Amino acid sequence: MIPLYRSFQCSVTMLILTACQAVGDDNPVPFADLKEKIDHRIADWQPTVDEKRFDQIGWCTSLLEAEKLAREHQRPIFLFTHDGRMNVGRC
Amino acid sequence: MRAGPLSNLKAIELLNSYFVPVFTSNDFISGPSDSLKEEQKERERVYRAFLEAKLSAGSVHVYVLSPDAVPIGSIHVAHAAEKDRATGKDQTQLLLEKTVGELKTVKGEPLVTPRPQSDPPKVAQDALVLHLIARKISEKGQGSWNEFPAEDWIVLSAEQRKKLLPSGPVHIGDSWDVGKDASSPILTRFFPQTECCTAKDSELLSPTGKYKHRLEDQSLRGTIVAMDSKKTIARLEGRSKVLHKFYPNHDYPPTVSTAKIVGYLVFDTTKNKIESLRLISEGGRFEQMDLGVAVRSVP
Repeated sequence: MIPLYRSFQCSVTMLILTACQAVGDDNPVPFADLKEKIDHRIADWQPTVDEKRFDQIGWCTSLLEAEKLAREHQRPIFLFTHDGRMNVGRC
Repeated sequence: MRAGPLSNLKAIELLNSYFVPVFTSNDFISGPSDSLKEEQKERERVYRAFLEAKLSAGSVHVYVLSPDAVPIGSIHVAHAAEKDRATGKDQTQLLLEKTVGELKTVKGEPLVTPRPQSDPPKVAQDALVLHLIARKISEKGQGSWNEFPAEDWIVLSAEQRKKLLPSGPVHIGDSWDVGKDASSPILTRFFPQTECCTAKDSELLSPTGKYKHRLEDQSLRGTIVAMDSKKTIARLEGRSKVLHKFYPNHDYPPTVSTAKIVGYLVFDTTKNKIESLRLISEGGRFEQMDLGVAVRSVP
């Protein structure tokens, strides 16, 4: 049995292969080529592992949670306060 | 900080093995509503405690506290990445090592399992979640605000989602303009990392706020390129022009981000359901820099 997502992917692939240029379309790039370029570029521009190194840190979600864990495990707390949203790079 | 001391592998190892790490945004608190006041109160207590201990304190700051939440050491963010001449280590790593040495903390596993810090928001089942990446291409990670891309999670409600689609039956070759209710929340994010001093979109993206943010020009047009009894595929083309002050309330004119946009949309004609949305910028510019923006629906 083909999983639902694969089934969807297969049907989309078939559609793309049969995709026509639109009526009156002056774009010379076949859609399959355009799609490949778009998918490739999206993958290429995603954050790299090096750009996401701080994801390798086991962050608490709040200061209160951090203090609770610190007391329980007798570990010091590292706190970084900042403006904006460091997790998405809007900071 | 994220690209500096918090990307330093030795500091990461120290944080995971000996510390309880946490980062907080000054105007945003997550978590259950009943704990928000308590969290805010504790943040204020910590700030005051460092001042009372005659240690540095500030809004963008590194703090180290004892297991009982007593101040131990702190560094202004401007100094956190400074390298010590003798050891070559940054000031953050040195503070971490000093703390572990003085407290004789026992090494262990991370107390919280590391996980992606940017993950999709929880939304209603009929909403559409989009993930956007905006990066400066030409800078190749060099210099502040260029080290990593900006990300946004965009949520389109069921009503907005419908406005991405053509109204009524379509045929191959048909074109339509995507409704601005659906395109604006996406295209207004077509700008890269800048000095964002707020976690609130209502401030960051406000035309009258500190950033004078404005989606000055936009278009997004779909053209059907393939269809069968269930699935329809449309090519998307458009443009965006976003004005945004680099620093909040600064005298300089807003930065200008422009892009031509291409993409595609796959939707289920029978259910009016979007299966996939993809957009990329072409020839994007942020001032004098090359800008790349990529949007994909999730999942």
